[in-house]
Amino acid sequence: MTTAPATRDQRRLSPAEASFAATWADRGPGNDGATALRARGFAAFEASGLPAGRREAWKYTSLRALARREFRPAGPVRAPRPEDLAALDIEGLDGLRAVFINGRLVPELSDLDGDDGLQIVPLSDALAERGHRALEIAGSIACVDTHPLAALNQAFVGDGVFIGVSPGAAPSRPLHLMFLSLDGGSPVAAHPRVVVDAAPESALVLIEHYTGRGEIRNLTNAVTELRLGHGAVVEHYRLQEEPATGFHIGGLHGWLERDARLISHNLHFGAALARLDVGVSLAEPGAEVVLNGLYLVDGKRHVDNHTRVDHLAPETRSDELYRGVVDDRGRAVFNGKAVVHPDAQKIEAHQSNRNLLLSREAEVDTKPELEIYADDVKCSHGATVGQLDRNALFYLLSRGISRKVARDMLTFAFAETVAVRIPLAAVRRRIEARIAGALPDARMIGHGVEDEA
Amino acid sequence: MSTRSPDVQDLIAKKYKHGFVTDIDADTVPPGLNEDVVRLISAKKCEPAFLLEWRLKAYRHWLNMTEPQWAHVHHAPIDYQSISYYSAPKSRDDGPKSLDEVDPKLLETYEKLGIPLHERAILAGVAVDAVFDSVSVATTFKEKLSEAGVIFCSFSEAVKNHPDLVEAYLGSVVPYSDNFFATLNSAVFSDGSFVYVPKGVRCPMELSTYFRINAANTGQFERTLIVAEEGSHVSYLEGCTAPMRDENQLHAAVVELVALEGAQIKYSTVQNWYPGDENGVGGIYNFVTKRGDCRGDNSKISWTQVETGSAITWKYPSCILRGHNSVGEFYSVAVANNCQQADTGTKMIHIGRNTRSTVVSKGISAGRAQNAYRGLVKVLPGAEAARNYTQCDSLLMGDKCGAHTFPYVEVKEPTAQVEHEATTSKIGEDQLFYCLQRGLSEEDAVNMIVNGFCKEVFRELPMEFAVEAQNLLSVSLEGAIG
Repeated sequence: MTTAPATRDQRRLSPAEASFAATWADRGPGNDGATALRARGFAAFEASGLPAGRREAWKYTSLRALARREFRPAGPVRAPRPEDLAALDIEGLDGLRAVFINGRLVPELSDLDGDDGLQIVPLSDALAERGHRALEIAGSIACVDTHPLAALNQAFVGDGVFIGVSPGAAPSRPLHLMFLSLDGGSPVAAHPRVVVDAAPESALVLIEHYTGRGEIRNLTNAVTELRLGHGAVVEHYRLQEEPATGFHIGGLHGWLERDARLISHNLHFGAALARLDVGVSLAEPGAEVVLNGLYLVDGKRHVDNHTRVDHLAPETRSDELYRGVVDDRGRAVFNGKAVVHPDAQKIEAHQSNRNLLLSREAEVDTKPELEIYADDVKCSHGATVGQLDRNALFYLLSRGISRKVARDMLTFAFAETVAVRIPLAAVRRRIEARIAGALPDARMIGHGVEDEA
Repeated sequence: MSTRSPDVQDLIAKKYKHGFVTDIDADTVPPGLNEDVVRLISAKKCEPAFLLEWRLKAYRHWLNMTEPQWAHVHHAPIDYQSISYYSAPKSRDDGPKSLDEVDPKLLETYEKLGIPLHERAILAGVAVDAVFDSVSVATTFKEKLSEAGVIFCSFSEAVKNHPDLVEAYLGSVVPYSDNFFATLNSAVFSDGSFVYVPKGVRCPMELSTYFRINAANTGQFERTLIVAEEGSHVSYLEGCTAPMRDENQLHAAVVELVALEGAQIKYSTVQNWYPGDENGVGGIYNFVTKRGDCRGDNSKISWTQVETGSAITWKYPSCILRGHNSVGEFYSVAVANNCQQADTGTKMIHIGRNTRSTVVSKGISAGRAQNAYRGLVKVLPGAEAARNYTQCDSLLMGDKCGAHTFPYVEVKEPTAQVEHEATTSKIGEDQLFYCLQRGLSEEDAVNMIVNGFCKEVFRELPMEFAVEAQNLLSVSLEGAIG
């Protein structure tokens, strides 16, 4: 029997929860158009608290370490020098750029002169404007009752950006959002939110890039909400490279109308603890989502990917491929769920999660789920946990390649399956370099696929 | 779990319509559960002290437990105080006097299943003192078994005649504190089966509850314990394809299997209890805990089940692969039609080296039924080269039903190889079309396709069972298409 969540009075607040409550007491819901939104977010977070105990969605991921830390809101931080910034940047990416430091947009470092039909506005400005689309979308796709951390984000909504693409517009350059987590003395909690309004028949390439420097002990608690109108196509990258001391929690929530298409690439390389909840609703016929994911987990890191696709309308499709390499004392968690709602006929939903478990102390917990309430469907899922193919390994050894190099080559190839699905060359090269970087003997391999771009 | 159930409501109604009066048996305790009831059950059965202690421990533990809510099923709350936890073995007098009094719907089902006439009487609970064929079969059966040294008796007999064995193994696989329903069962279990196969013995025949005469009315809290000593081999069949008469709504059985070094246990179940009517009224709640322990090296436990009955099924036959090189298997066909709800699957816990497990689950949903597969494959550190292969396929018939898959995979051993695959689809229209244009009726075509879908599981069943299971499937899915 599920016990009713203890109310705030009965429960002792953890240091993290107490610090969030203090920030809220300090700041309140504000007095712009988002007042009600923040109040609702805080109420939901207050009711649930940080996930603890036996919540199914958090069965394999404990936030105890996070709960023990006290976080203060992001304050002014000395902006990094341009050369430092360049070191973190994605090489060869020619795009518009918005830089956020601990969640805050830094206009001096950003280049937001968009093409026609692309509107990029700091979220706080958008929320302050009466009748702005951001007010309509924010909080309407990411559910605060099922996602406690999204509720926390909503309680402090303001940081981040609103991106609007006009009907039929297709900006020529990708939009690169760079979220830097920097040391601010004591641990900082950032709650950036990205709100995307892709109007009918528009197209957008969006890169959310979470990175940082130093031994930060920050929490990045980011939420992205995407609304795709009829026939809109969004190619979304989420590159998570935070320093291995920080916490990264994210939500990616999409709502797709008729014939809209969302392609999501979710790439995890950093953070001590990373958790991402992807939730996509295919709301009208013809909508389609592709979910690609790759995670490399080493050291004592923990990466948790939860994805959920709701097929609400007939003739919708989803295709998911997540792969992970888990080494050292790392732990990877995957939970992929496809729900086909009543009367949503002619559905295709496919899901695959494969894990390479390389160390004795590492752990993989995977749970691919199907929940189907219609009959004219083609659904499948597969999950594997295993090692490198012995025959392939033997073949390479028999060709005079050392075991170490052979192992790294095969590991590279395993991860490359996801990397080759990345169309944006600059990002793909970055990913391949990261994979190779994690494999000490990968120098032999050289750089993967030729650049077709 | 052995017996059966048909149109419970109908039969009960009938009983009174014909003016039968049930004498209040002095041995029936009033509904409700407390420590005195547990003591009374134990006393009535003249149990040794250790068993009473064990029951009481379970009861006290149960008081602090809450009913699990995680299963993908919905039902009205169960009132545990409204159940009568003990009644002495029922006399058959309150049953129908002859087949003429039995619900014609039930007889029709027997007809379709091809059940011999005299068996229909037993199954329907007709008050026949003894059916001679059955008795003689059972007697020769018992002689053969005792020659081989196999003990096969009711649980109560085992407690009387082999208390040391019972004490040694009872609760060693499913401890009294295991889960809500298993704990309840531990406190109040009525009877069940006990099997002990001595070292090196290959049980000369398939053991079936059907042939155990006193298997009748073992009640709703059944307990089965099977112990296979070193190098022994046993195949056990539980249940029966024919629906049988049953008056209890809640069934919470426990099955424990112990396989010592090199032993093999094959446990086959056909479950066809009353599923309720088309509108989901009535029907059995089947909340069962089944677990096998491959305790010795090179041992093997294989579960095969065909589940077509019960309003709600909640059942996860599991294998603990403790011994090195031990093997666990789970083959299942679960059919849910009308308003049935099934949440079933398996757990494979890999502990020993080179342990292997195979899971093949076929779920069929029709009408407004909900059918869920829920499984766990867990590989603990040190289970070197453990291997699991899981395949679970769902077939959907009708646009109002549901098929769900919740597989948990937890791996902590880098040399393990775990694979899980699942598919969900409806009956292929091209297949159906092909059959129809060959002149098959739609019903026959569907039966053929469904049987093909389940073939991998049916071929694991003992032969006679397999044939019956196929018939059962077509009866269960009657009216699902068209």
